[in-house]
Amino acid sequence: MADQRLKNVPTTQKWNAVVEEVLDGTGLLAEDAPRVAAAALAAVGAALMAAQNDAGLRHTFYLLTQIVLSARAPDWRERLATVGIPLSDTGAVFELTAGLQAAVDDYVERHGRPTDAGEMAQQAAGEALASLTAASTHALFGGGGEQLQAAVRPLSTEAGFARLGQRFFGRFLARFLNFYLSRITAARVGNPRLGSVSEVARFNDALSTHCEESALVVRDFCRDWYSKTEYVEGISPGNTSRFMAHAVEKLALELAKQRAAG
Amino acid sequence: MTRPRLVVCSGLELAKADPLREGRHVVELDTLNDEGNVNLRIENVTKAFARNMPPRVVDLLEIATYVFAADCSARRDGAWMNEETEEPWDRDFHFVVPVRDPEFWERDEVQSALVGALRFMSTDLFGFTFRPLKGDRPLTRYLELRHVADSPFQGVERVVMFSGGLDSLAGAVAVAAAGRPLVAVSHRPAPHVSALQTGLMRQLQDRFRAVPMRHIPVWVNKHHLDSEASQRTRSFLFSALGVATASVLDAGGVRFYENGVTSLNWPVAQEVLRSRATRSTHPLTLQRLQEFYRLLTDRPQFAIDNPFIFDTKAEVVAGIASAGVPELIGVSASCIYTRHQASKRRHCGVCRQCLDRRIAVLASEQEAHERADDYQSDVFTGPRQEDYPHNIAVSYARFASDLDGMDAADIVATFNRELTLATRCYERQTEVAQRFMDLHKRHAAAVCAVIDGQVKAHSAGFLAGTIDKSSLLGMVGGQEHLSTTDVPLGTVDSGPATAATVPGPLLVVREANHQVHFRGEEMSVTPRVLQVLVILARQVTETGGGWVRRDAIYDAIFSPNGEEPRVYVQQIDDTVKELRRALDAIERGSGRRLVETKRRVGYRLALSPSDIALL
Repeated sequence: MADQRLKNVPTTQKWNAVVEEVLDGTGLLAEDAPRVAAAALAAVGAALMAAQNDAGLRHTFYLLTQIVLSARAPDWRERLATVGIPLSDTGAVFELTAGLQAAVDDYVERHGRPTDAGEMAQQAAGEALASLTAASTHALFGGGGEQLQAAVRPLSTEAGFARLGQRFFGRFLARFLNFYLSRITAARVGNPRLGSVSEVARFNDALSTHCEESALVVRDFCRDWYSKTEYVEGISPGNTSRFMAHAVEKLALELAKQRAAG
Repeated sequence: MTRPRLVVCSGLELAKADPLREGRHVVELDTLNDEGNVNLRIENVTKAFARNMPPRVVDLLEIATYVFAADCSARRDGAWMNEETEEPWDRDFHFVVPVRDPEFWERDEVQSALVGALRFMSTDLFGFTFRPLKGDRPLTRYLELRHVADSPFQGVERVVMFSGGLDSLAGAVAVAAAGRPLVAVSHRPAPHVSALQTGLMRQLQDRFRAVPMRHIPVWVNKHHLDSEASQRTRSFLFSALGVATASVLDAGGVRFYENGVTSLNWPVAQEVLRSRATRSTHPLTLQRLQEFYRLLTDRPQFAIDNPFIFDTKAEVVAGIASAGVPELIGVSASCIYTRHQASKRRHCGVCRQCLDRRIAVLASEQEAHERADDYQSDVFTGPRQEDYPHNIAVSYARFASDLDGMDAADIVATFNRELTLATRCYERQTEVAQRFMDLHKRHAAAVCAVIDGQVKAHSAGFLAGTIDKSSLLGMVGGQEHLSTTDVPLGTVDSGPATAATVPGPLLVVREANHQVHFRGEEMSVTPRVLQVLVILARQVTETGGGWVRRDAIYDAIFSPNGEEPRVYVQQIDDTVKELRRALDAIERGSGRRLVETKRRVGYRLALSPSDIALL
């Protein structure tokens, strides 16, 4: 039985206003993705702020830092194992991401409970890591080994980690906003701004692109924090948590600024 | 989260001051007594084989029944929390259950396995307190005089779970076609569902007369309780019925037959997180149930499996036909709204299950064996009401279309969470991942081909404007993703000026002179738009096409200025938008988009190298 729960946003004044804003305009919705994203974020800012404290979100990002730092070391498999990510001699991109996902699940099971925000963070992390490493290795599924380490190592530089951070936060933000917006867009196919199913796909693409572009705002922040923290005190779950809180806030502020700028 | 619940079972009297009650809404469920609000007919199993059921297995059936009844009685929806941003979904249950074998149920590993399975399939919180049972249910005791070898069903390889849908029918057909004894167990929630299942089994027996078959429908239902439709723990109850039957027959395990796409149930929309997509027969669900049932049966080889995990639904349907009984396809029923099964048109035609079924039947070319009027509303052309009927059609079609356009790297990235979770219980994880990807590619191709075929079959309706706009075809028909998108622009014959009428390159860029001509018309562009256009055009002329990452545009144009990132974002966006408008204004006749955007990738100019002259 392949049931999937598909629901609308609440029919309250607040959400009706978001829907009106989404439908307000003459062009295709995809062209208005930045404005729609800003409007949605204004409505769900409380949830994004609450996500700062999510155990799954924080640990996911911490493990991303440990994966790239491990790639610098000759014994990187041993180092990955210490954070709960086993990798075989020939382990490739898929195996690495599978290890990451399982390690986060184990952590959440022991230290909290699965949440929607944590799930989105795991989706975003898998997507970010796979998309950035698969581009430089043909071994998605096998024959990885040193080739995989070589593909991950560039992400351990300041610039590389900045890129990874931007990709992660961009993907997270897109999934976060579309958790709400996908309900509005699916329900409005047939509206002049969303004339067809393919327009929903086009809007999703535009939203994703916009979110990654907006995450440029945390790119330098990631770079600076990563190099300074690792050098001064070493990256730990504790300082990662503090960083995440700032990063999420920065991202929210960025969209709010865009909204204010019209 | 909705208010935590304390579920007190089997008429147990719990002191008012009992700390278990603290902070919980108390619900009483009872299947032991005649006036109880939950109905479980254990004798449906024992009577069928004149065998007794071990007390621990009777405990299992009652626990599974209580879990299912509580699951179906606690609504997940309600007012959104945290300033209307948090959708309620998870629930918290604690059960107090009198049992016959408390020593077993109180073992840590048993509770951990049970709770682990339930948590994964429902994402709810579960806890159990077990108490010794004082007064047992009246059960007929059997003398078990017949020698076990007398029964063809004794020691069968697997007990088969049988819902009466296409997949379980295909499974039963596969067993029968192989000449193996078939023991099929069904959950019997209502009389009309039972009628369908028994009728289908009777027809199967008619086709395979030499094969010993036994159908065990077991009554389990509830009375006077709230109703929650999600039923995420259904496979616990379902499998418990199978395990109970397996226990009296010494069977090797319990088998679900469900196609892989349904079992894995990847989200069709981004709102579908965690158990918002059912995990009834997800490989991890079956693995966790198996772990629990091995403890329960004290048999380390006891198996819970699904042989169809690498098959699409269309392939499963084709299996029924190749076994020589395609006429049974039309006897089975798949609609989630089982109330329709009592009528002549047994499928609603709008739910996900009806979409899956009809598309699989068409993709496997078995439409001759199913009445089109078995659907109350045509799956493709029938009008769809707002909310679920509308949204599922949109998401289903878009999901298939997206998947169809993805390569392996796209799938590993986009569905990384789902793919890694699905493979976690397999030893050869990477090999299985590739098979799951292939499975979804085949599914997506089949869905797109069927929808494409339907669009073509209804082309006259599109031309005449008679296709209902709210129908699935109305929402996808005539769109770019269903047409041939790779036709070179030069062959497009619509619009006032085309390659056929304009000789030479379509796009001429004289960067040094700051001049751009498209289709012979001069374009007025800003210096920044010209820079972006040159980057995109160069990508076409130098590589034959391909996408340009935003990072590349950022680095090439905006990076040296030392502006704030926020400004870059706005500028990249505005610049591309401006370029697109300028080109589209000239290209308006064809309806094509000349500057394409691809998620996670970047921008591309939809022209061929011969269309461009960079001077």
